[in-house]
Amino acid sequence: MEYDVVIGLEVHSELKTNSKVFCSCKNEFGGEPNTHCCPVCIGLPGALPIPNKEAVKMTIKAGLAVGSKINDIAIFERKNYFYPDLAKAYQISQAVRPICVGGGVEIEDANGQKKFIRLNRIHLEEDAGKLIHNPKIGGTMIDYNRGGVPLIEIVSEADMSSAEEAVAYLAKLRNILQYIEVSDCKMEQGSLRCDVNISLKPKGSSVLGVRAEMKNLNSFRSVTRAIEYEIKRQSRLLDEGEEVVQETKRCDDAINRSFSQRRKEDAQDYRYFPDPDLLPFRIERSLVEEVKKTMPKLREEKIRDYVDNLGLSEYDASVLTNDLNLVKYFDKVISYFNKPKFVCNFILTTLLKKVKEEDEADLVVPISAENFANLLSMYESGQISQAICRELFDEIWETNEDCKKLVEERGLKQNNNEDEIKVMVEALINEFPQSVADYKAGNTKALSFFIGQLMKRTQGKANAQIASKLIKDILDK
Amino acid sequence: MNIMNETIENVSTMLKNKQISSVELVKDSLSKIEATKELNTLHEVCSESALQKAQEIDDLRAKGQDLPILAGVPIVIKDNISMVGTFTTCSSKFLENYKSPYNATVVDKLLNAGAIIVGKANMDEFAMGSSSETCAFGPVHNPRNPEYVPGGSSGGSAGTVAGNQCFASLGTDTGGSIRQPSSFCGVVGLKPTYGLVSRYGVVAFASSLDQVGPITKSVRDSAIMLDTIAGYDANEFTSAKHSTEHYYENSFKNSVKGMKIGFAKEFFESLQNQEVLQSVMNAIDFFKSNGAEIVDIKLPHINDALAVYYVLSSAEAASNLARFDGIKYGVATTEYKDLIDFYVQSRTQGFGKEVKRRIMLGNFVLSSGYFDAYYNKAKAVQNLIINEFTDAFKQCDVIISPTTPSPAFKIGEKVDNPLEMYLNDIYTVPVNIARLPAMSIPCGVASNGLPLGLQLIGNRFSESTLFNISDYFEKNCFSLREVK
Amino acid sequence: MEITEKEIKHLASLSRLQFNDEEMTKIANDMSSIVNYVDQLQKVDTSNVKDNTTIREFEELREDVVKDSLSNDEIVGNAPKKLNGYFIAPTVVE
Repeated sequence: MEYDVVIGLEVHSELKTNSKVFCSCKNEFGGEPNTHCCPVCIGLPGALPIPNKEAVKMTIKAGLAVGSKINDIAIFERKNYFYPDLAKAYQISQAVRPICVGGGVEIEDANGQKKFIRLNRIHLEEDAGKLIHNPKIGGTMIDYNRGGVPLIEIVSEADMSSAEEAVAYLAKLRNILQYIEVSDCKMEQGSLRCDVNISLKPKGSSVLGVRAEMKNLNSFRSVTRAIEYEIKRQSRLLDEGEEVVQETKRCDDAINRSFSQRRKEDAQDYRYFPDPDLLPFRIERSLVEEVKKTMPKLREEKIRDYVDNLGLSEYDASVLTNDLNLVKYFDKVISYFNKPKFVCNFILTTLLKKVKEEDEADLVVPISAENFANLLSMYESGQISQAICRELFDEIWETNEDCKKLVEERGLKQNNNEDEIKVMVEALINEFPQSVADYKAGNTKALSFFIGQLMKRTQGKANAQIASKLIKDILDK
Repeated sequence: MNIMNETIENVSTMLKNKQISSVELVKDSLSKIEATKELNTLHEVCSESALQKAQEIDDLRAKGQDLPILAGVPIVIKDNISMVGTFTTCSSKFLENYKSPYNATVVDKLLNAGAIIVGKANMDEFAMGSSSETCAFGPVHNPRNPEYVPGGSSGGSAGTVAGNQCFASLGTDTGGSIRQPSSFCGVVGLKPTYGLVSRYGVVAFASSLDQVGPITKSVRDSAIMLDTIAGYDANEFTSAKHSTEHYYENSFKNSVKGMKIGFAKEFFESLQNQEVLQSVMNAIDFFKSNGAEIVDIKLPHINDALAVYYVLSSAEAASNLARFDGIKYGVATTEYKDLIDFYVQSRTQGFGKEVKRRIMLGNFVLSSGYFDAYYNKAKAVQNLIINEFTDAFKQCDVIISPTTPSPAFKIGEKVDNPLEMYLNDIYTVPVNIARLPAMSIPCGVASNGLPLGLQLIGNRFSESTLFNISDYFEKNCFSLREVK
Repeated sequence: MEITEKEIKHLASLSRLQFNDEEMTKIANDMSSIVNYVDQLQKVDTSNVKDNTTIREFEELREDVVKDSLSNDEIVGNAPKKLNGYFIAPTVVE
């Protein structure tokens, strides 16, 4: 039987505030265990939470970026359940009145058609601590450094129907959150992770199926795998006329595998109620306007900007804007050396290759934007040859040494003197008569051979263009 | 003269005039505590740190430094208030060995004012109770008659002041826990307006109702204490941004002329005890004959306040006490099947009966299916009661009532009937529900020899009005202390 | 309203508490009588009641400034079980 697949995502993203969401401890990944902690975030008796302004502003910013309505009054509630990573045995979260309601993002479905994924809400809550399973001591070690880190939960409607769509949606959200600079979205560090809800129903049917929930997925691959597995499992059950039981699977950091956490019969009752320590607070329109002013251009806008104002091709602009770090780097480089197309070309052909060799996950360019701009400027103006430019690029990638100084010290400037080059070219022509014969017979490789020899003798400094023209002039005569 | 019977006002003057040193005063306090330790008012006595602090104060005074009024005065705090270097047990087995690594804001304030904290007072476990019999370390005895309960939950705090072991104490009041024991022990108890005194570092029972307040021997001492502990705290989101008032300096007018005192018959309809009734009527007559006006007011839903209280306070308590899981602090069972069993065994071993009952009740009203009918309904009735008080205070300055429906009862008398025990708080609870300030002051002695208390309820932030009228009553009508 | 033993068991599980048979009967009785008392609220008409919840202004929230945390010794100082600065809980899954 054929089934419709119904998928909804709850995406959790850690906000990059300075301090935690309800206390003044440092919000920083890692650190010695239980050193970014205070009475509030480890839930000592008597400790009380105070919400962080910046965390609220970032949540508003995320909401504005996806077209959410911002509630004028927001309420923090307690979600009560026992788990060792949850110091107070309740998580401060939002239920009836989150900061943001509605909105949505557009993705492309498998046929390249635009599809709008609606959002239900974005709410602000606190992250839990980290559990490390330790069989040697027969227990679980707890580090609460992450406990109380601000987390937004972006809840979609169940508008997706395949793993591809879910991944496209997640990638889109990740891009937006990075662009508006509210989250690093480092999936491998868990600063972006998601829960997937999935259910199947007979094709065309309007009756909702029983859903399974998979929690704590922290890579695109795990999302794909989880969805594909669930689709297979549920369709097999349905085909065989068996019942799908509502269940939750949790991919636990501590044990690095997923396990069924609970079934319907002992379905959690979270007993949400307004946190009496945290009165509701007002979000004035003026605050929303203030946040709006800090909103950077989103990717689509940036692409338009690059195409319309900088003359980049649609494709180049789209590759360049895929990662916000690259956009920032590019913008900085062209502020020193205003030849966007030239810079973009070099980035796409040479720099991105380098990045991929290094590390796929985090895009970090170790050459300062100014140094990189100088290198390209020297190349573009003919001061250095392409060969020297490539060589220097590889070198300063490791050292970030001043490329101008290197060119100066080592005398790497390109030789553009036509007379000098002509003398060398004539010498080569006399030396290699066989290649001259090849050239005359129409073998263009001979020209490259001459250029290669010339570069060898000048350590790459001869202007290849001038040399090529001279060789042609002489041999075509 | 027995110095331990004196008020803060008097000993402070003596300290200032160097008629006595703080070290001597602390020694007197410690020996009185030792001599009357069978009252079980205190869980911990901080002899060493108290004497050391007293010496520091004496040294400063010797250098001629001008010190705050509380400097060098022995004070006790309830054992649900966090203080570095002491245990904070909440009189629970669960926290028997718990030492807070941080100070409550009120402790910092007391210490900054030079007060000497000599001990931590026993209480009903986690402040849940009206008799201090749910204390895990044995019941507290009423110093007026040790066979009787001191009231609760701040029974140790009230008992230590009534027993002249110290000069004042801090209690906490969620449904009457300062006023009821103050009434039973014959001392002055103030429950301030919600948000006036910081809750930071005070172990929460019901966050939206809890309030710290002073228990003292006189009304004027109560104002001194409130001056020290009141004020906005940036560490508490429910803290009120109310400017400090200098209560001690500004409250006392020595007159009640023209004052409007609200009389709500709903407070008296169910009152059975004639002695209690008579003592309040006498007070009313006294105020009337001294120029105050008695105004009839209506508080039609005040008798629903106790039900509201049990729903809301238990709901909050169930959640507040969930953090006691045996992992970060407290009792951890050594034998368990798995994680869930570890939680269950640790909590079952660590908590007493009453605490368990409230947690169960709280989870009942919060659980799906009952949340609307109980929690939300109670919130709605709370709003109704607040509105009724708001209307009432358009017609009067204070509202008068008994503090409790009866004087102190015998230890063990009500311990098996929770509902009857709960009914003790019927007059005090509406004040917490409406987030108002109220005082209990002694207003008579019952035939069993135990004190009776008068409750005066003020509008929000009208503590100075309460101080004035209570002080006038204490000076001119009734006091358990011999007035000079 | 009567609180059944089944309900008590469910609530005990939510509360992470355990009661023996005798305690179970007692707490079921106690809770039934308290809930019966509390049921008087159902008779109160609250259809037109103004909400008095205090609402805080955004300005009263905390600035995003880092302050010193406690030391690890202070953080884990009260823990019944600890190791190398970590709290130790029973194994989360068997």
